[in-house]
Amino acid sequence: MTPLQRADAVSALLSERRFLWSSEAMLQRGIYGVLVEAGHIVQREKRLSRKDRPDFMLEGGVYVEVKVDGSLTNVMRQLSRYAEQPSVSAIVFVTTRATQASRVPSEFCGKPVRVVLLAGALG
Amino acid sequence: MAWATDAETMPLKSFGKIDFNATSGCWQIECGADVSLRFKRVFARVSTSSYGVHSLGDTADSARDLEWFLLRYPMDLTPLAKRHMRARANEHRAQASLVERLLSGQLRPKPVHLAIPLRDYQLTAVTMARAVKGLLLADEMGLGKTAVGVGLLSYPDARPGLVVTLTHLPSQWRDELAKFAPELKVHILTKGSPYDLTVGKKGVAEPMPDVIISNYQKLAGWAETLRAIGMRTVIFDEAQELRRRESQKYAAAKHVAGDATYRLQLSGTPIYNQGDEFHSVIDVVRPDALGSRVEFLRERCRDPNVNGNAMIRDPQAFGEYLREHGLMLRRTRSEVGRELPALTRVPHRVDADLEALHQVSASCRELAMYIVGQGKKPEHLLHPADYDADAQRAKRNHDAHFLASQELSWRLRQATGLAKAPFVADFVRLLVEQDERVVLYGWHREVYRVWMERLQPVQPVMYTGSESPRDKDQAKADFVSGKSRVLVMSLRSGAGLDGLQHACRTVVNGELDWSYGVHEQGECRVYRDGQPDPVFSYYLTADTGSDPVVMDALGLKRGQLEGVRDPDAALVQKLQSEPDRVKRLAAAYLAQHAS
Repeated sequence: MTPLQRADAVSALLSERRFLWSSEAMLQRGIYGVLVEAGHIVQREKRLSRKDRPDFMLEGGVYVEVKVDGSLTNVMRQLSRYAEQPSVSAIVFVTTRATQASRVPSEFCGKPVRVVLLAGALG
Repeated sequence: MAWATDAETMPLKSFGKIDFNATSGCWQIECGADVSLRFKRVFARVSTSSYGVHSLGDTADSARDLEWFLLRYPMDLTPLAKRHMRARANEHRAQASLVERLLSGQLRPKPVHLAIPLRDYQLTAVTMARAVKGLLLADEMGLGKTAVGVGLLSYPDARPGLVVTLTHLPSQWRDELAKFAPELKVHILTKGSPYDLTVGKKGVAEPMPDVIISNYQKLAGWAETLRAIGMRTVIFDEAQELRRRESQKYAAAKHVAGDATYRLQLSGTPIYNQGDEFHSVIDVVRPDALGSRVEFLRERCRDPNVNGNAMIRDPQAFGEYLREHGLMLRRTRSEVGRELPALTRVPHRVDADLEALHQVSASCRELAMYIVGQGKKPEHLLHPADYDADAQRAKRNHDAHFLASQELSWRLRQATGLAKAPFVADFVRLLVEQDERVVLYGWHREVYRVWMERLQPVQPVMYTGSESPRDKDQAKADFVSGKSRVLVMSLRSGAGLDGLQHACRTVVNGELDWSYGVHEQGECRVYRDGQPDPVFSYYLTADTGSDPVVMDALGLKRGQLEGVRDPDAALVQKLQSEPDRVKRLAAAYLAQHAS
């Protein structure tokens, strides 16, 4: 499985589910369970650089970042910092906010970014 | 080394005196300064400025806490205080054990004598309401909460009773009462100001009705009179109406329920916005059970906004608390074995006509600048009738900022609705041409106008805020009979309406409401007992305008409502949705029109 295929598989997996959460930590627990159950090898909060610890690292340099809050500009900066790291081959950005989802580009520094808007009210 | 209790090691010393004042319904606690200090810490509701003698409200809960406090600081009790404390504390123990046994199924609910027998889970609700005296019944919509209300009213010690419901539902209640308990004398209030209920037509004397039905609007005018008559039971139907503690009907509801023995609230969607609304709602049926509002916000909530509304920090834990303490009873269809064919939500992005959005951008910019404090007050703030109660109040209080934000929301949502309108109408036509009958939900009159124009060939009918009750009944009849295939409904006019489920299995949300509960109410006009088919609910949203922001708010509000209501729900659920459903619909349409 190429990193891009893995990122697509993770996007599809998470899009088909609805998560109950009342905090980011609770949502992360749910997502972790789904990823592990689907057979992915997942490392939580692995340090990527001095500043960053993405929420999940999967095989092949696929990183998953989960957000329930925060400003769009901060999200963009964070994702672009991830993309600058050579060990990152693809990013899956998981958000509960429609206002963020539609504005995150599909690529940073030539690295593909898959955006998953979790089913909030409408799923 | 063995532990020894104070009683074993020391002679009992008295730290003060306790009396019970039956007239004011309060405990009077007299004690010295050191014990006073401890007492006020344990009983946070006691006024901190009281000195020497403290007054504590008489609830079963406080009696049991007092009992425990006296173990540490024994005091002298008057004979009345001793008897009353034991009785109230025992009442608390009995209540707690009954709730536990009922919920665990160890205790069979008591039978109720009605013309049509109640189902077991309905009997459980009646038994619990009688035991705890104040209950929010939040069963899934369509499981027969009205019948539970009738069951409670069937006990002689629960009458006379009052039912408060939405404006379009008193006759539905009268019919249910006649069906289940035909011997009860029922009266629907016809005027907003009090009149003599014991004088019938042509001045003939009549006995006092067993059950009085009022709508929420009439309650303020009648509250004083009804309390004086002495309602033993008060039932609040669609209790989300009591989510705003500043409203007139809220004050009236609290007043009229003040002396009632039994208080019952019915609603599948008890709140519409942030979780703090649970405090307002439940405080009507179980005053003080969740503490004061300040305590509740401090202990349970986070991030209160400028209006004092706040999210509940841990909705699941709060839901669990409500259930364990018999404050809320909630059962889903699957829990009581009355499942329906599935309800599937299909989110679908539609295009938006950007021109419609650009047209409002200048005025929206002006409003937005004013709201964030960087512009002058716009000269004309409109007050359209579509404004809700909050806006009406803001208008009275000359709260220009609030009005400006309401207006911005209103204009942006209308512009978004208009931008989507042609695409929404075309989507509905696609469904109708596939032989579906569709309930189409919206909010703005201007949007309805575009829909009606474009849907003219399939003869849509309307059920919104603008039609008279007779026109609405006619529209419903035409839709159910199949004369019309599209019913355009206002998102806020649907709650409680029954009968559409026999004619329709498709809902289209053409505009979004700010409240998740409103959409759930809308779906449940079709997804309810009697629906033979799977129901599809389409959410047609745009990537632009107000839709993304409203969708975010809806997601948060759904988390609050569902977390509290269903604390045991699985943290991850596989979606029922079929991602290709809309594509297949389009393909079928094309195939049909190919020849």
